[in-house]
Parts: sequence; structure tokens; C-alpha cells
Amino acid sequence: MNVPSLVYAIPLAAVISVVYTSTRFELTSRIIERSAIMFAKTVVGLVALYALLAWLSA
Amino acid sequence: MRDPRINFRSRELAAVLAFLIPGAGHYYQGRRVKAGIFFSGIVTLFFAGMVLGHWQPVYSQTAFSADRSLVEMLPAEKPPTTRFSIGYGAQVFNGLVALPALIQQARFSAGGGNSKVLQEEIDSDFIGVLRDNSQAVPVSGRITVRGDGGTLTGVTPDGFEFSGEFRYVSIRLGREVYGSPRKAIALSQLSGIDIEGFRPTNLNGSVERSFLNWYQVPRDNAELDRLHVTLSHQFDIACVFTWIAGLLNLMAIWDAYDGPAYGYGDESPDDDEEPESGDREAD
Repeated sequence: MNVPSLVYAIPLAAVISVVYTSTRFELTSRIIERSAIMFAKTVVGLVALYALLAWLSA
Repeated sequence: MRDPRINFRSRELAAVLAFLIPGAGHYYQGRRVKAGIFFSGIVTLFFAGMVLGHWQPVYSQTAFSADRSLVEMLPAEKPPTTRFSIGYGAQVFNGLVALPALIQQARFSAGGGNSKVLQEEIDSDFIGVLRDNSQAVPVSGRITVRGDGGTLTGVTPDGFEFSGEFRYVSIRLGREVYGSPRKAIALSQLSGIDIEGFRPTNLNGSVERSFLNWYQVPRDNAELDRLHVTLSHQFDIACVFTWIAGLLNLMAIWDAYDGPAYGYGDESPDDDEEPESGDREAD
């Protein structure tokens, strides 16, 4: 099965968000809230970057 | 300043445990949620990388030969030069799962060179080429080598199946400990194989190497090239996964030692901001 490389960025971003945020805070609810925000921002940033590169190479 | 609500116990021991097994330091401190997060996140990321990279992204050294020949086939009197793998500098922070690379590095360094003697019978699948003076035919199949002979059962790319016994005069095997699941084999002055009139005199190819003799062992650029041919960008992604897992555990180790960087997490938003200059003076 040929999985597009960008798909691997999603679980990677999820793990980085959760683990990084866990090293910043102790409170579980704060970790969940902040890691969700970080993950969303990362995915939006990646999609925007991908769209920009796709547009430039079109 | 460390939050007094967190019981760090022995911070040094917690850091060592966190290094050895991601999350173990936090578990020791009673911080079970974070232990679960670090263990599941970091270990999953590391093993996802290992599976993607066919269990080969972790190695502590890259080996080189002075005359640019294959490191696996160098004789013992010409040991390869080695260079530290920068990626391992990040991978090592995964702890126990990455430490076998250091043991394998020592085994690789002490492992001698290629072998011109058959130490034990070979019974393995085989991929390689049969040659005579004018022709080379790729084959794949199964080979058994014992004493001064053996059997080869295989198929050529055009689908011709053959099977038979052979004899040989000399043998060369790749070094015992080397970072590839395939071990090089070369038989010369071969006789006995007949493929529709083609009677090869040399056999070059590879057989299986035991897991303990290739897992996390140093390898040369030829093996890395082979991995890139086989796995393409998937091998690079696998390496990135294991590197990032190690770097994330570095932060987790520090968290076990010194607590969370921004505080407990229940501070009011104003507490996160830098105090005004007037406040600082008042303090």
C-alpha cells in the first residue's frame, strides 16, 4: 500500500503536541486543552504550507 | 521554581528511570497520567519508526572502507573506519530500546572481517547471480551449503525453474556482524549446475543473516543505499520518527528531573505574562 508521505505528519504532530505540552504543564485538563490547540495549529500550518507549495508548483 | 504539589522523590533516580524507559521516571514519582502519556507517545513513535524502516533506522556508526569496497567483504586485516551517526545522538535518548546499538557497535568492531571458511551449514533463501565467463543470470530460490558442496533450487527472471546439487572450490562470506539482514556469499569454481546448457562457474548473492547479528549494527553507505532503494522516502520518515521520539524523551527526562516548564497549569492567565516593570520594582 502506497501511503502519501504527508499522512505520516498527522500522527507525528499529534504525538509531538501531546508530549511537548505534557512537559510544559502538570494539570491533565490543561495538557489536553493546550495539546489540542497545538495540534490544530500545526495541522492548519501544514495544510497551508502544502497548499502554498502546490500552488507554486502548479 | 518547582511546584510544591509535585512529589519528585529522588529527582536523579527519576531522570535515570525516565531515560531508560519513557515515562518510568514519572511513574516512580506517582505522576501516572504523564507516565502513560510519555510511555505510549514516545514508545509508539519509536516502534512505528522501527516498523516503517524494517527495524533498521537505529545504528550508532556508519562504516567506510579506505578503497571504497564493500565493508561487509573487507578482510580482518583491513578493518573499516567508522563515523558516529548523528541521528543516533537523538535516538539514544529513547533509552533501553536504542542502547543495543552500543553493544552491537562493540561486536561490529571486534567482529573481524569476511570469512573464507564455512563455519556452519547454510540453509537459507537466496538472491543472487550465477555467472560463467560470458553470461550472468539472476536467480532467486533456496540454497544449502555444507562441506564443499550443496544444493540450489531457484528460478530465473524468465520463469525457468531449476534444482540441483553443486560443488565449489572456494567460498567467501560477509562478516558475521553487520547491519544488514542479508549476508553476502560468493562461491567460485562452481560445478554441477546446469540451466538449459548454461553451466555457471561462480555464484554471488546473499543469504539470511541472524537477527542478533544485524539488528542495530553499524553499516556502510551501500547498505543505506539498498534501504533507500527498497523503502524510498519511507526509510527517511522512519528515521525522523525515531529521532523525534528520542528528542521528546529528552524533554520528558527534564520534566521528571525539574518539573513542568510553564508551571502546574492551574495558574490564572495573568500569571503566565511577564510582570510589568513597576511590578518588578515593587517586588
